[in-house]
Amino acid sequence: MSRIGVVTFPGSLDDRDALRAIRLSGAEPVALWHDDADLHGVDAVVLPGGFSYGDYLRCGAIARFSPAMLSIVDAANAGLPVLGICNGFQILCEAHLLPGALTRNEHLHFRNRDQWLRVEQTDTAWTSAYQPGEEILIPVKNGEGCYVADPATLEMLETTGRVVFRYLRGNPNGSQHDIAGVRNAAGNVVGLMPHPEHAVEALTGPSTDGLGIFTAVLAHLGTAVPAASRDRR
Amino acid sequence: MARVVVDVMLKPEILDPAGQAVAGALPRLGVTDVASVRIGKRVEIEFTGEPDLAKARQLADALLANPVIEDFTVRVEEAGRAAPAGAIDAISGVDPVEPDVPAVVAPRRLDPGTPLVAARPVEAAAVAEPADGAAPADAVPPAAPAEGEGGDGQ
Repeated sequence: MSRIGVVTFPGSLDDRDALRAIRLSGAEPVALWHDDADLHGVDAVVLPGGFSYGDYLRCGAIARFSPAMLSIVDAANAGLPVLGICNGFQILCEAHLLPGALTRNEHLHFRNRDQWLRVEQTDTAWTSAYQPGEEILIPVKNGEGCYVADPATLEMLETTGRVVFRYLRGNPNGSQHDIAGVRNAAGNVVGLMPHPEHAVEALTGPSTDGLGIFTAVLAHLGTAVPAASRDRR
Repeated sequence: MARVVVDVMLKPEILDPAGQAVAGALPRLGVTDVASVRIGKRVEIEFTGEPDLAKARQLADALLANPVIEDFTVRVEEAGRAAPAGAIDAISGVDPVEPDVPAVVAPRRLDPGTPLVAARPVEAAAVAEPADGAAPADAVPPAAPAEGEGGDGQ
């Protein structure tokens, strides 16, 4: 069974939900600790949402230098699948595993709502369970989720298919090009602001559309996806 | 012991909604001739020995600023000649007059002749050293007005 780690930083908020989503998708969740450089042999890593290190200085700026992250940067460069959700996305940008940066929402308000997204790229370690162009509904909740990059970087992202998710029917934070998530060149590292781990069960989420993220990485790792998780709709 | 000061500012092309919000509040103080406000961070680093500008610049590039969205400047400030605690009040310098103003009043209007910020103590004058490629602060063009645009898609 594939083992997927979730790093808990001081101030992480959604690590428990991420661990739960991993279990529901049929993998073994493994709790990782920010101060531990040992990744305990996990097959993939999720950086959860929250406010690591109090969001001091900049969101993700201090988490980037934690012992766990230093190991994850090396592992990601060697091909380990890594997903950053919300604060995790901010950490991946700060760690330069993903291009661009996430800044204060354009309207200054914390935005918390169910959000439609379009899956633009399915050839990543985390999105192969979706159809190209598929529209999914998952929660978004952030105060600093406005994706920015210089014009050359935006052009590169668009022309090389590295915009993975795009906001539909309303941009919640002013992100350039309505970008909700991006990938690295190899496709093993993906970051997005919305929260797929909050959309894995009908009881607690607006849909179960988020489960595909976690079943996709199992398929990527060559693990048979349990029948219970395959029919996610 | 000397202090290295790192000033971090959003790049001119990066939207600063917090600065815009401050600019939007200025008319409540009767100030109507401000074109733009941008907010940055000031980081003070006390080295145990001699101030190390090169090391401070490395720190600024790696941690204190995000070069994707921010510029920074690094300079040495002669901390020995500045009053350590009281200097802050002198620098922040909110107009000290009218101490007996009632707690709840109509928005106070500043006399146009009153400086908003007291002059910095001359002793604390510092030698600015811009980071590589950083634009001087006075070259920053005013941010494009975005009030009422975009944003809330609900």
